[in-house]
Amino acid sequence: MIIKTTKFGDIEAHEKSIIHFPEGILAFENSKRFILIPVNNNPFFKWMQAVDEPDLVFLLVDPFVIKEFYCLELDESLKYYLGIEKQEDTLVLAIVTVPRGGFKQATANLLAPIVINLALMKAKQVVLEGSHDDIKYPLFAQKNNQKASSA
Amino acid sequence: MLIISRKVDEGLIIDGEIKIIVIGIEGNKVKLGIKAPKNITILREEVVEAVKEENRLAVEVCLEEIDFNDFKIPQR
Repeated sequence: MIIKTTKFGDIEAHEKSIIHFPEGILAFENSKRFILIPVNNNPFFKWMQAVDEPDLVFLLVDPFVIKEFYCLELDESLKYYLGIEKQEDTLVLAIVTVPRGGFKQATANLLAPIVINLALMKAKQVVLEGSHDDIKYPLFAQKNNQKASSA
Repeated sequence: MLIISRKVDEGLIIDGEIKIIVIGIEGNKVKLGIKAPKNITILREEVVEAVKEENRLAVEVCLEEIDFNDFKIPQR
């Protein structure tokens, strides 16, 4: 099928590559189908493009690369909900926010990662118990002790 | 919205399986106990709102502002 996108033009994608979010993404509850698009030359990032809305795209990053010792527990209810049988089928990605002013100030939302069961192509944005600051975790190590996250 | 007043140790049962009990009241703080099946997600409203707001900011990502070459394997 052809997916129309504002940023990347028309993209040819297989039905099997569509990821289903039964609950949508928080604040975008009606957007339930996405595809992942690789980022050239950088394996840590992926675009997540809405199948049915050309304008809607998120930038995602591998959270384990951003924060040393980042971990999340897939609790039983989440495993059941996503139908996860094997840990290897699970892909975890964090949504990136790039503020005006540039990529160097970008943050990743480590508090509410996207968890995908690749075996069933079913996914959910999971809100974890954790520090509120992790909503805006700096992508780049901060110099001058300057904090990227606002209080 | 349904409004019900409850005293300490009194509770509510929602849909037969979610139980909410008022455990204590201190000043303007109410401590609640919630018993629910594992498939029920319980979240603090302000956290959900903060995540929604962050998602709204995230979709404003501008392709032109990103040079992926800036990001290499972290220097940590």
